[in-house]
Amino acid sequence: MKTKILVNLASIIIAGYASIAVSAPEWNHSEQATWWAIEDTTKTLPQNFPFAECGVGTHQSPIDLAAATFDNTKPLNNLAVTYSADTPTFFNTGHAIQVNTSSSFTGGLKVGDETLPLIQLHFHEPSEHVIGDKKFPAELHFVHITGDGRIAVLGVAIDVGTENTLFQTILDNMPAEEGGKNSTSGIQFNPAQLLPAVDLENLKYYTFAGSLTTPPCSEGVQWYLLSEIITISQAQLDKMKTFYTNNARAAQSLNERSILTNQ
Amino acid sequence: MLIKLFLAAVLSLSVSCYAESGSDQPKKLLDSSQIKKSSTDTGSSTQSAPPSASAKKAESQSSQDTNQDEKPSMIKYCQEHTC
Repeated sequence: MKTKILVNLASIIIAGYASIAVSAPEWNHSEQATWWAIEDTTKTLPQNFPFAECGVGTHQSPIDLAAATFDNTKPLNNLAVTYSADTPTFFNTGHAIQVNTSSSFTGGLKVGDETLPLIQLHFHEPSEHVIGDKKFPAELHFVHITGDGRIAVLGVAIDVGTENTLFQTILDNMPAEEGGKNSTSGIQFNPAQLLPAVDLENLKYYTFAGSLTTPPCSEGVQWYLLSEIITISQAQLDKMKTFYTNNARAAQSLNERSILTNQ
Repeated sequence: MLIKLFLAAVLSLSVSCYAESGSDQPKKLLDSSQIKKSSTDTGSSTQSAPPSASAKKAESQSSQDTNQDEKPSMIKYCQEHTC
């Protein structure tokens, strides 16, 4: 009898997680302080509050780098990107401008000997990671997910400066309407061209355990922040803001986390 | 007067060339003054021992267990939502 109850309970939990993956209640950045309390009225327990982790999680992202301690004494994995040209989908998600890689894309983030496939990249304005009072004008997130569900995000801060040609391609091909997808551009797009002019085989980075920065704020995400930043022009930033502005989550408590770096 | 103008032009050209050469390097996320070092690496140049293989394996296993139920559908979720 007990076994049957446990099996049923496990089925409910698994079904609940699966339901988050396909649909989720509406949310927006202006009410991020209460994401945890958003109810999914279409579901029965335990999924009434599918974003609870946003409130009760202890390894949440983003963070304030000025509040953290850095450790460069630990041996760390070599970090490299293996991105190549792709014909992606330009997606206006309703929360950010995003580029989804195609199903045939094989590039990814190489952490030590393992490569985590690049699934999508998207932008926040202003930056989500901050340094005390300082925010960068924007931040780029490359999201990598393995078949067994492990997530690693490569974050790159964006300043205003020289125009970025590939970012202009994103702006020019992004649908104006929320939810709009453009998968027929036929454009050859190499995400590596968004990165700074550094050795892509041996990236310098800061790494820490964190979470998704949007609901459901799932933890277990390994973050890699590039030590070099990129630039876009003021005109490009202004154009980006016509899609979304203030779509950044506030810095979350560190809760004793320290940051490892190969710097 | 012409000499002064010539010298001023040469000076401004050399300053702009110097600035240009510096801008070839990508800017940094953090200055060294913004980095708070942990107490473990102050005054020591030796590297701390890496975690033992068994500890690493246990950590990795624990992390996989935590993610097992939830994550396979995350690829689809993150393509349909900003995550």
